[in-house]
Amino acid sequence: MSISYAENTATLDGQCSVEEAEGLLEWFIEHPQGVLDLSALKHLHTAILQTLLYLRPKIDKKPKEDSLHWIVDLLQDETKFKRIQKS
Amino acid sequence: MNPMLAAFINESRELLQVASKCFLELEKSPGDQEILNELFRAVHTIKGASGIFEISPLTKVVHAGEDILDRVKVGEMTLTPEHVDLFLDAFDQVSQWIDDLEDEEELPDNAAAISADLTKQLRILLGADDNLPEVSKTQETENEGSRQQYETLPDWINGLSTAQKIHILQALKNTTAETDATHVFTAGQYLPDSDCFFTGQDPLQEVEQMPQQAWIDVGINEPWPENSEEFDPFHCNLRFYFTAAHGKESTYKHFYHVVESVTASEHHWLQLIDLQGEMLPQEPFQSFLNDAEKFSTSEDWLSLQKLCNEFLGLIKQSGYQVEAMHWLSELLDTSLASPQVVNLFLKSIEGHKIQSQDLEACYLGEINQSDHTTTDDTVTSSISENSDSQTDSSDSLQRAAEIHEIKPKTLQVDNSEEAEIVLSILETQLHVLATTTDQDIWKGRLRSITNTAQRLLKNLIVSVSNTEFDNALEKSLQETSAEPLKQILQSVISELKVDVAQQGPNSSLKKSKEISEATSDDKMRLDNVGNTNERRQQKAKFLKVDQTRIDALMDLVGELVVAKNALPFLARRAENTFNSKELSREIRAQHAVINRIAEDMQSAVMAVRMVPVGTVFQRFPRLVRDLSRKLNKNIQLELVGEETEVDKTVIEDLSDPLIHIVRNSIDHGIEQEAVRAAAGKPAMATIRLQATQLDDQVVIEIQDDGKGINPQIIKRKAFEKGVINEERLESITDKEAIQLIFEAGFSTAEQVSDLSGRGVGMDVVRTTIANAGGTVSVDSEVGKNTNIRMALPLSMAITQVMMIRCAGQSYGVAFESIVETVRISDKVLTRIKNQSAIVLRGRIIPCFELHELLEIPALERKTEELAVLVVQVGGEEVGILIDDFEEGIDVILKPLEGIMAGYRQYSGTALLGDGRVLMVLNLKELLECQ
Repeated sequence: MSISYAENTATLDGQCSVEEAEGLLEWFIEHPQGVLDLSALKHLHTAILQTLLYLRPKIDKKPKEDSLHWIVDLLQDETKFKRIQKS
Repeated sequence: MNPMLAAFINESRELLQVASKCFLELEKSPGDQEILNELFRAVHTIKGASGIFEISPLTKVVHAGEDILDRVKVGEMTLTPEHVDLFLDAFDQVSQWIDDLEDEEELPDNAAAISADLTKQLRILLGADDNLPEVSKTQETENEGSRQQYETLPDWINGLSTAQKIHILQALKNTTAETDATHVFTAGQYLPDSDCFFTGQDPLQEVEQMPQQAWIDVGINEPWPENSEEFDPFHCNLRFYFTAAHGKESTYKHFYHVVESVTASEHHWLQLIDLQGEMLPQEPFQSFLNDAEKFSTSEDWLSLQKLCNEFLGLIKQSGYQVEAMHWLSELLDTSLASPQVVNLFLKSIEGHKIQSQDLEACYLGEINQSDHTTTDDTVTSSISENSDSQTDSSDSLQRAAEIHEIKPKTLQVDNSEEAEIVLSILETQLHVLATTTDQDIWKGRLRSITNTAQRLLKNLIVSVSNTEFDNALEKSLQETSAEPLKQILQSVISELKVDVAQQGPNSSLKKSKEISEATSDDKMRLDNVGNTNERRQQKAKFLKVDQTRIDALMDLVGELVVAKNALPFLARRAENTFNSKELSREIRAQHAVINRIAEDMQSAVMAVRMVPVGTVFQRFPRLVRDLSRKLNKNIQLELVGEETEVDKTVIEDLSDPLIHIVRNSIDHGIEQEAVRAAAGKPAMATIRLQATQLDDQVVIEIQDDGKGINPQIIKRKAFEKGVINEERLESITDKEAIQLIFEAGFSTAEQVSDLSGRGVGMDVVRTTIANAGGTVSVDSEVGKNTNIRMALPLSMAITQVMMIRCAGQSYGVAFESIVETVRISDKVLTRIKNQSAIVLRGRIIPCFELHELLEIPALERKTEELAVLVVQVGGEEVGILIDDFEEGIDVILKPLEGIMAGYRQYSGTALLGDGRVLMVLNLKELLECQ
């Protein structure tokens, strides 16, 4: 599994696949104050992205991967869900 | 391993083999549509299946190959031998990756780099062949319909802020090569199916992996549920917006499998520009305009850009001119920077609003311009720098049209296919309705007819709804008359009949052709219709079984054979110890039955393990082709008797020696064309691989019509290398001499090539074959041919051995080496010099005492009678003097292991029915040690 859960942090590592979406959802429902560590994230499946967009958790560590920055922007954009640019 | 991956690996291996076979066939008959189709299907299937796993380097290479084959298939390209070389290399790499996947379940780290390189080479192939004419073709169409070329921007782009649009432009700039003269981009919207996660799709990844994708945004289809209980992470609620620096055909191509969920439109970069903002007072911009003018006249766009940026850094307001300056700055480092465009923007900063037609004139003018300025240089350089974009955009409208065409076509097949079946079912219902029966059954029947009809109609578009059916049923039940239901059924049937008729009278014929051409996806879809049970039945006839399972079965049969051998011992004990002849007889009778079953079972399992020799042979066309191209020799390969079946383990033993021999033949045997011509031989050399079954052996012959083996040279070399001594050199016959090529450390090639000739090889061949219980010999006529003959046992699992006694011990001797068993008086034994011998039917047979060979003390012989086992070893008959013969038995021969492994006088051990271990003698080794 590429998502691991520590006390208050969910760490997404490498390739996060579709089957992990449910676990992620449940964990955040149990830990509403939980934060995300995306530093080692390489790719996340659409299902994970949509779960995160729904939950909008706080991002503790941003991904190192440049191509994922737009996802952070997307997740942090509280006001306007609809459109975020890829920088 | 993940079973899906395992299945993929297996399937891909087979498909790669098919592909490689097709390539070789295509070289013989280029343009053969049937082979091309088979090839394309194989490659297409690999590509499709590989998409499920995270092995994109592999997918990319196969995809590139598929694109080329697609072109070849429609006749836009022809395959040259160079192309085939590249393809075969690429597919070798793919098959290497498949091996890696099997071992590691992932691709090696360097896969991406190798993939990029191979893909590039393949793409260049695609480009170099016909990209140039293709580009001018698209330009022609652009010229013809220049106004229609660009569509109006979709609403979701129009709704973006200027800053966001500038972002899009920046992203487009980043993904486009500077030399690219076109400024087309695609704006697309992808609405994945809400169930798409269940079919293994990852829409985000699909969008991200689109070539030249420049910008992504995400939207939601429905508002998020308030309550987290209601949120289903596996129900896709996202939609994607994207732009990409290519034409929309490329987008559709990328999303070909979900093309119905994607809408894309094609635009020019300049269409993004939409100046809004309020017109600001002119003063602050005057100084800028003054400075800008000189750069503009000298066309020093980069300095002008610098000036823009400096000025933008100072100005804090926003407004019309500021927006214009932002856009201008972004355009100046692109090939869009032209006096026409720059002046337009400078004017707007002066306070003249840009009119949409002025902007349009800029990009519509570009086309005419690029018509003249696009030189071959820029095209080719952009091919190599940005091969993806070129190949994609060169795929012309035709490709997109194809994609669109395929869909309705298959739907049509589906519908008419379905309609016909539905029609026949409905007609049957009508028939059933007409028959009379008692009241209760009749009611149930009516209901079931309605049910059937309603279920069928769910999948068809007809004007009759389910409620109408329900009403008709009610009415029929009330009136106890079938009439209302009958009417409605008839109306549906007549409607369907019209539908089917519209498909044309030959529709079924046409369909079957389309089915055969349809891709596997389409086939699957047709399967669902239910008329391809035949195919399913065919599938069921073959069962793919893991080899280890068969091996396990074989071991069990072996154990059964051993266990069965215990029964005769038991019978003897019953007779001797318990004095019950009757019991003994019964046991023997049972033994006969079990023996028969065990033998049948054994041959049944053997039959499962039998594999046609063709599985080894099929790699040779490729080998011969590659080597002959490399060595510039013209060689044809003939395969004979590919269907001969041999045990799987024998096949495995056969493969390496065969490769050695064929390589040797090509390298050393076959002469260069000029030499062949001088010798009056046909330019095309022939290598013939032939398999035949001879009793319980399979004989493989490798024959070439090359220069043959000169025994004189062999003799000299063998003597020089110390393989034979002087005495032997004198006495050796020519036929014997050429067998020396199998001796260790023997090589006659003048030069060591990278193919063969290192003096290993042939002796390895002999050792391998000998270990598998076979023999190998060579036959040659100088200047004409060489014929290497390998004989191997058909199966090796169960060996028949004869038990013999020597010095109070039992030993086994393999049956195949025994010629006869004789008992003779010890007076017949004569001595010729130091060697004992007997004369048997006029032949002199040298004899050896087994206990001497084994160096164990002999027991004193009580009788004057000698037991002689006459065996054939190394082509000679030899008599072995033993104490007594015992029975022959079937055993599973196990090789010696551990510290015993070095005792070569035994070829193995076997377990006897009474639990004893039988040592099976290796007579050849024993006699050689003598």
